[in-house]
Amino acid sequence: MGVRPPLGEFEQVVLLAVLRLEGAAYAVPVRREIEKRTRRSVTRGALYVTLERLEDKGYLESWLADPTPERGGRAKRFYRVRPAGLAALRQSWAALRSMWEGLEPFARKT
Amino acid sequence: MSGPPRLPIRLLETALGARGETVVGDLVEEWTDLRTARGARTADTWLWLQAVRVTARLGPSRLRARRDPWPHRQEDGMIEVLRSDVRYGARMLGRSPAFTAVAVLTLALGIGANTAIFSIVNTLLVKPLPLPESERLVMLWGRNAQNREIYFSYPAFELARAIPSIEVATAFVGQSVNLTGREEPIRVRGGFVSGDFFRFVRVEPAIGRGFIPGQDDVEGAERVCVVQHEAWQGLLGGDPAVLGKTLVLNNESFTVVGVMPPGFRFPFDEIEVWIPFHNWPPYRSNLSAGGVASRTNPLVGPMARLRPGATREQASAELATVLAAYAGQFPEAPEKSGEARPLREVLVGDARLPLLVLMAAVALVLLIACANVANLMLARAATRQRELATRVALGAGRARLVRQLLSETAVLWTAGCALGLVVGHWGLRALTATAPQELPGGLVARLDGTVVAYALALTALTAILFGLVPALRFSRPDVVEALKEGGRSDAGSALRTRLRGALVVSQMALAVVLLIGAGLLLRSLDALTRVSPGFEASGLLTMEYRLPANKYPQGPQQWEFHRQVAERVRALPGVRSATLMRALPFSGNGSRLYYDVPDKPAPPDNLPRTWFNEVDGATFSTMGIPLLRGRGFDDARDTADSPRVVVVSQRMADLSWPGQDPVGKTIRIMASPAVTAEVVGVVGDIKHSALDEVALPCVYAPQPQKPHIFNTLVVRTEGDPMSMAAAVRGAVWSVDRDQPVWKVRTQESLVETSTGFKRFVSRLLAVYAALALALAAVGIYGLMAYSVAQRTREIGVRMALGAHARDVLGLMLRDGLKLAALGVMVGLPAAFALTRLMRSMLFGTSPADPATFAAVAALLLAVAGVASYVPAWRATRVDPLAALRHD
Repeated sequence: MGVRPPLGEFEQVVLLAVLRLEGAAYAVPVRREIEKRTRRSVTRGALYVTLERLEDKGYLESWLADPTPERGGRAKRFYRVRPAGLAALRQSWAALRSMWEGLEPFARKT
Repeated sequence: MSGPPRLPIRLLETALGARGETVVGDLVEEWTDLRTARGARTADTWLWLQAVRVTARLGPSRLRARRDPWPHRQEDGMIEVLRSDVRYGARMLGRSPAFTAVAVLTLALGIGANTAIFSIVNTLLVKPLPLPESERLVMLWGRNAQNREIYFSYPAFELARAIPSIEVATAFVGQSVNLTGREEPIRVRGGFVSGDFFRFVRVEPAIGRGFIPGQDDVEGAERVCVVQHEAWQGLLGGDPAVLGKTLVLNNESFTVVGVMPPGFRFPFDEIEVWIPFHNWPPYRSNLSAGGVASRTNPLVGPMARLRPGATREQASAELATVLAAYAGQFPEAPEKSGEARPLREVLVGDARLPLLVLMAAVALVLLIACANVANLMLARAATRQRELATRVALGAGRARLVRQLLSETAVLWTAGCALGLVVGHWGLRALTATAPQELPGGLVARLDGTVVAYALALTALTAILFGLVPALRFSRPDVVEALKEGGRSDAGSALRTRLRGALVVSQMALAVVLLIGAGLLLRSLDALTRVSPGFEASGLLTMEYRLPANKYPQGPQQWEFHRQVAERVRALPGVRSATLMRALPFSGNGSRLYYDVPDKPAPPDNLPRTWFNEVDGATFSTMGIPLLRGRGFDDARDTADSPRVVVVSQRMADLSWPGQDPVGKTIRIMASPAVTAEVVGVVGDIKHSALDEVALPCVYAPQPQKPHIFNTLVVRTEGDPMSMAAAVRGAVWSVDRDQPVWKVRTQESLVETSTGFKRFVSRLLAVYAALALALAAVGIYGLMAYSVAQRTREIGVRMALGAHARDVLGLMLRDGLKLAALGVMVGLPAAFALTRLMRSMLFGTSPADPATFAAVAALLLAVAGVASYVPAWRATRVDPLAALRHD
C-alpha cells in the first residue's frame, strides 16, 4: 500500500474516540466522548459526515444493532476501527511526534 | 408521555433516506435524555434545531457532493446538472446573507400563516370526519310551513327513516343525565339513540355489544347502556369486568352492555353514556300525554347513513315527497317538507365563512410577501447584470442562465417553505392556545401530510409566479451595454423600475383589501360589545339541574322542590336575590312554540312562533329586565289553581297588538297541551342567544302554573358570583342530597362566550392585516431606497444646479406617495367588491362603511409616506461633488 493521504485533525479525534469506546461506539457516545475530552462542542452533522467519510476510506466499519424502544424502535449504527484506520492513526502520530522532536519544552509551557 | 414532535423527524427521514433511521434514532435518544433533564419544551425546540442543522449538513445534495468532487462534467446526466445548479444557487445566496435572510423570513411568515390556517380549514372542511365512510352521513331536517328548519315528530321520523336512499337512520338527542348511587351525585352527558345507532356510526363497542334493534330499543325492554371509553376509565375505574354492572341514571338502573373503543368520539355533545332512545324523558312524558304518536311535537333530530351511491339530493327529494304526502294526510303535522344535509355542514355551521375569510386573508399576506421577495430579487438582478452578461459572453446558453436563476429561486423558496412549516407548526399551536373554544366536534387540527402537501403546492405556485418572470426577463442581458466601461447604464433598468413599481402598487392594493376587511370586523365587534343584552348580566351566578322524572313525577312535587331551593338560596348570606328560569339567556337552552292571538288570528298551518320561557316571581327583578306595563309574576298569586297568565316582551306586544295595550288580552300557546292565558304585563326585550340577533317575540309563563323537571338557578350575589358557587350548590343538596347540579358559571361569561369566536376571528384578521401593512411598508421602503441609490447622480446634478433639500425631499416623497395612491385606487374598489361577501359576519357596519374605507386609505398613505420619507431624507444628504464623482 502506498502513502495514505494524512488524516485531518477531526478525523483523528473521531477515530480515537471510536477506539476508546471499544465496541460501544455509535454517534451519541462518540460525540460525548470527544466533547468531554477536547472540551470543544461538536456539531452532529459534522460528526455524521466524518464517520461516513472514514468508512468510505476504509478506516472504519459499521453494523446495525437491534432497534431499542428509547430510540422509538430505531437501530443504532455501531463503528469499529479497521486495521487501515489504525495504521493511518499511527502514521499521523509518528508524523506529529517527529515534528515535535526537540520542541517538548513548548508542549509543557503554560 | 408523548413522543417527540413528528414533523422534524419526518423532515429528517425524508431528507436522509435510508441513512435516516440511525440518525433519527440517535437524535430521539438524546431528545429523551434532554426531556428528562430540561423538560419537553426545551427538548422539542432542540430537536427542531438539530433536524434543520443535520438536514442541512447531510441532505442528499451534500452527500453526493462529498463523493463527487467534479460536479459538472460533460457526461453527467440531468440530475448532476440540476444538483450543480442548486449548489450554485445556494452559494450565490450565501454570498448575500442579508438578502437571503430577509427573503427566506418573509416567505416563511407568509407560508407559515397559510399553513396554520389551512390546518384548521383542512380539519373542518376537507378531511372526512373521524367515522367510517363519514361522507355518507347526513342530518335530516324538517321544514315547516314558514320553510324553517325543525326537528321531526316521532311518526314523521319513522316515515323518513324508511326512504330508499337511507341505509340506516338513528334518532339522536344529547341530554344530561343524573348519575346517582355514588358518593356525590353527578351529571353525565347522555346520548339517547335508536337501536340502529351503532350501525349508523359503523363503530362497535370494544368490549361487549351495542344495542340490538327490536330488543333493546322497545318499550319495556331491560334497561341497558353503552359507555364511552373515557367514562369507563373515569366513572367505572376501568374495571375489566364491567359488563353486567349497573349505573343509576335518572334514578333507574341501567345495565352496562358495552364499552366503546378508545378514540371513538361522536362529533356532537361529547357523549359519555349511550342510552336507548325510549328512555329519553320527554319521549316518556309524551307517552303518558297521549303517546309518542303525537304528530305535533317535533322533538327528534335524526341522523342517517345514506346507501352507497345515493346522493344527498336524492335523499332530500325523497324526504320532501314523503313529508308532503304526510302533511296532506295530517294537516296538523308541522313537517311540510324536509332535507338531508351533510353531517359536516351541520357540525361546522357558521364557522365556514369566517374560516374562508381567514384563508383569503393569509393568501393575500403570502402574495404581499412574495411581491416583496420578487422586488428584492429584481433589485439584485440589477447588480448582477454584469455577471450574467459575462456568462453569456463566455458562452452560457440562455436555458442554462434561466436554470441558474431559477435554481436560486428554488433554493430560496424551498428554504422559505421549510422554515414556513416550522412557523406554521408554532402558529397552529398559538392559534389553538388562544382560541376561545375547541373546534366543533372535538376535532383537533394537525399539521398532517395534506397540510404539508398544501404548503409545498403553495410554494411551487408562488415560486413559479414570482420567480419565473424575473428569471426569463434577465436571462437575456444586453451583453455589450452591460459590459461597457463602468456598466452603469444598467440595461433594462426602465422596465425593471416599472415592474418593481407595479409590484409595490399591487402590494398596497392587497394591503388595502386586508385592512378594510379587518377594519370592518373590528368595527362590528365594537358595535357588538356596545349592545345591551336587555338585562344586567354582571354579578349573576347560574347553574342547571334536572330532576329525575320518576322521583318527582307530578308538577306540584317538582314546583315544591324548585321553590324550596330558591327559598334556601335566598336565605344564604351574600345573596341579594335568586330566581328560577327554565331557559337562561345565552345558555343554548330555550324553546320556541307556536302561538295564536284571537285578536289577530293566523291560519292553523301558518302560526307564528315565539320564545317561551317559564320563570318565577323574582326573575324580572333579579335579571334586571324592566317591567314596562302591567305586573310581573307573584309566586303566591299565580299558582297552579289560579287563572293562567303570561307576561310578554315588548316585541311580542308590538307584533300581536300593535298600538294597543296588551294587558288583559288573551293568547293561546301551542305547548303540549295547549294553554290559553291572559297577558298581565309587558317587559323589555332581551337577547336570547347572540348580541347581534334582532329582537324576538317572547312569552313568559309562571313556573307554579307550568312546572318542569329542568331548571336554571340564577343568583345575584354581593361579590364575585363564583365565590358563592359552593354555598349555592350546598343549598340544593340540602333539599335533595342526590340531586346533581352542573354548568356552574356566571351569566357574564355566557354573554362573553357568545362573541368569543367573532372576537377571535376579528383579532386574527387584524394581526394579518398588520402583517400585510408592515410587509407593504417594507416593500415601498425598499423600492424608494433603491431608487435613491440609483438616482444619486441625478440628485447630485439637481443639487449642483441649485435645487434645495426640500425640493429633493419633495421629489422623492412624491414618487413614493404616487405608488401608494395608485395602490389605494386599485385597492378600494377591490375591497368594495370583496367585503360584500362577508356581509353576514358584520354587525352594525355596512360592508361599504365609508369611515373604514377612508381611514384605511389615510393609514396606508401615511405609512407609505413614512416609509418613503427615510430614503427621501437620505437623498437630501447627497453631497453633489461626491455624487458627480460617483463611478
